[in-house]
Amino acid sequence: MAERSQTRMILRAALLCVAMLALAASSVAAALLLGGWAGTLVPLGIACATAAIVAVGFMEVPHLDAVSAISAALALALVAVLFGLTFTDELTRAHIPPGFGGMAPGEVSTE
Amino acid sequence: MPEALHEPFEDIASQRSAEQAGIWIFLASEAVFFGGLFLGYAVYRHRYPEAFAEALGETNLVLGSVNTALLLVSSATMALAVWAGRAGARRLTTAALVATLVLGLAFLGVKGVEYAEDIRHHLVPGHPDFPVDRLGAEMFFSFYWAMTGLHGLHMAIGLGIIGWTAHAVAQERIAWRETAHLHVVALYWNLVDMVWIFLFPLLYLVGRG
Repeated sequence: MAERSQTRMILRAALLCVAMLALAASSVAAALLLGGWAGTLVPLGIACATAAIVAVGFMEVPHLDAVSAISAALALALVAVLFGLTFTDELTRAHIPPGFGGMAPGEVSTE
Repeated sequence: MPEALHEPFEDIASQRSAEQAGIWIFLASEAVFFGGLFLGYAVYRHRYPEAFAEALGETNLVLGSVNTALLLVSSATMALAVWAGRAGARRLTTAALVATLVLGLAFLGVKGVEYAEDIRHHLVPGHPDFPVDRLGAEMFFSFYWAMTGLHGLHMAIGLGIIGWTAHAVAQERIAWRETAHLHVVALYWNLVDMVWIFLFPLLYLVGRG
């Protein structure tokens, strides 16, 4: 009984491991074969899928208690705010005319 | 076997719940810490897309892929240690922890080889013979060294804890069956793994095609 249970655990770990390795291999293939936006978005999308396997399969995120779930959600929200505010600035700054006192991204001051 | 329940807890379930909440609060702070680094990378990648793509072409895809495989397998062995621990299987728990330790050490070994190669190829920001002559390329390698270095430091700390835990479980020095010790260690290791899952495409893949 105990041996069968241990075999089941090993098989479960092996299965998740093979799935993650297959995703990693496909992200390498996608990066080498795809260009442009697809070459960026597909490997990052595959990374998200791999991270989801770790989160659900290993970190047991669906079974978190309230305090742990709030901590995890707050961390994600803070990172989202960081990215949101920074890129709001970054993307709009490019539209400030040079004479207005701003420099376009990549522009080097000649002064 | 040492006592599993400690003050101020009255039952083991509350203690396990507090242990888990504590590590999740720590992981949240780590996520924000690494989130800042990822954000910095994203901003400069947006500013210098061609330079970042060209600089990324200088990283070693083979060694990066090998390390990704090592870390993904180690995540599975660490999870196996937790599951075996819950079932009270001491030998399998110890074996899985030792396997995780070996895989993690292999990762750091490969990373060391890669770092040596990077230095040989002058892939160091500020080096007079830096091979990519494009504004922003050295910024890519600033992020490369900072992010992989901090990730490596987290791995080294994790490996120390895993090594100690493997020894303590084998010697029955901790109450590994009743407490959340194994799960807490595994959560930390899984976060380290998750950081690499995103570092790999950003430092080795995106823009290589």
